[in-house]
Amino acid sequence: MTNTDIERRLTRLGDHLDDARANRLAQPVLKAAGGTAVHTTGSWPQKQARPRTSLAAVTVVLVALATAGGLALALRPPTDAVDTAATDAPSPPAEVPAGAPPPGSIAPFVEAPPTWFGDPVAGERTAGHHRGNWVSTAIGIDDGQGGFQSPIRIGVTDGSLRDLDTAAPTTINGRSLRLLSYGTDWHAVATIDEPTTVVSGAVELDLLVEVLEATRLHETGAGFTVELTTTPDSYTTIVEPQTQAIDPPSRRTFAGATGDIVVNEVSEWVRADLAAAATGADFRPIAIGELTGYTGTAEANPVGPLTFLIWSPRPGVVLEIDTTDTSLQTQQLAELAANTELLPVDQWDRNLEDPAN
Amino acid sequence: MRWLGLNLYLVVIDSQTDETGELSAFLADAVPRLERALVARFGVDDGLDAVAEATAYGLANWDRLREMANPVGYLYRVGESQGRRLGRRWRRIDALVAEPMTHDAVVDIDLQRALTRLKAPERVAIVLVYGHGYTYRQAADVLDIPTTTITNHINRGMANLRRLLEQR
Repeated sequence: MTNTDIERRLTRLGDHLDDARANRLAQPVLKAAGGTAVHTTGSWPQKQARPRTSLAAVTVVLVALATAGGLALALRPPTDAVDTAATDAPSPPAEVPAGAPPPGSIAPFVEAPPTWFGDPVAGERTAGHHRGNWVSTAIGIDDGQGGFQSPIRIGVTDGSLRDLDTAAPTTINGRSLRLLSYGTDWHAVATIDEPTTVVSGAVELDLLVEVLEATRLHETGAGFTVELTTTPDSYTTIVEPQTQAIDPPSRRTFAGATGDIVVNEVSEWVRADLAAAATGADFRPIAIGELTGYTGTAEANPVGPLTFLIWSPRPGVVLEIDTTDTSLQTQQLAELAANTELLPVDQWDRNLEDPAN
Repeated sequence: MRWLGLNLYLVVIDSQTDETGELSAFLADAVPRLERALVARFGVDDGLDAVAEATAYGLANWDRLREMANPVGYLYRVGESQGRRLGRRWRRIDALVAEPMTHDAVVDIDLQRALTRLKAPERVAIVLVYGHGYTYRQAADVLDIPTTTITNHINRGMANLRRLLEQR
């Protein structure tokens, strides 16, 4: 064994440590995104819950950054997956509603949060998971009550997803793909060439690959769209192909004092049902005043079961409440959602400015 | 109020404390380096907890820290001290990270076990230099030790590492 051999192995280990470090820090984000990132080995789920008393005064655990888009695959699909024959292409995807404010230009705010929320804390979360142009669709098993089980999100892009840039290539069914898994439950598979197709969900890997195989990317006059030639048994469409909005690199977050509940703006998903489906978790509808939101719970979360409530207060705007506080009832979250308003970021900053300064 | 997102942690810094943005800039530079060094020292779990503790200490003692010649190195030693307290299980840990990030990623457990049998300073120096591509100077800076000491750690550590790997 030469020193060169050892150095090469050390280089790989360094990359692995960086990935593990990022993943360890991203897990709650991923869970918030869909309760899909389940860590099954090691001790850190318990350690995550360990109080950090000295840190508590100055930090807030940012339990949620974004929905499943937090997972990034910078993967490119085989060229033969691209149907360039625009003549038989399906309809263009739904566009981002005209007049929708750009993600990041507005932020959620609650004038008088309930007592259990505590004093609000101004937060900023890392976003920018989606690069380039994205069109997504979603499928799931209709639960007959307006909700869906085992949802799968299918996204196509001329860009990439940030956090999966390092996902290693693998061969599945003779096809070279990128694959990322969290625990045993959540997987994302992606093609390697440009443009890229990403299929993700908390289902069997074989099922994701089956969906990937059925995915066709069509060029349209103005861009591209996605089509599924078949859907798995029992599955139906949740969201028809939808153009996603830009995903700027950071977003303001309205956080509770303890850091175990946050209200995020996740409008890159454009639609609440698409954002909910992208979590990979089962979700059901819930009334928020006259609006319909979607809620679900990720049970196996490193920081404990995480409940999300996602809704769209106006076309093209999507908000998301994430909490690890299991004592909260869904109805309490719905009431918080009903009292959440949207503010331009400059006004939001002024409202949350420390009055002592 | 100023917000600085540091991975999971949202550090809320009073604007009077960081009027010039110096603290925010320092943390943005220091925390990633501390993470790599303390993960090499204690593994991913305890290492990141040690970074959190060191960061909290740095925020609470910023006035003193900012006057130091090498505040990152000082915080590394704070984190190292905290990590020892947090990581009493360290002797039972035989890997810096125990699981693959992807299905086909290889966990080089032989290498990790050999590394954990090295003296800690040797392991940290080797991981920083060969794992993360630090120069000897960069590694010495974050560990707050002379470059000559890093050189010694690397030379002895690589010899020991090779011997341990060949024993397997």
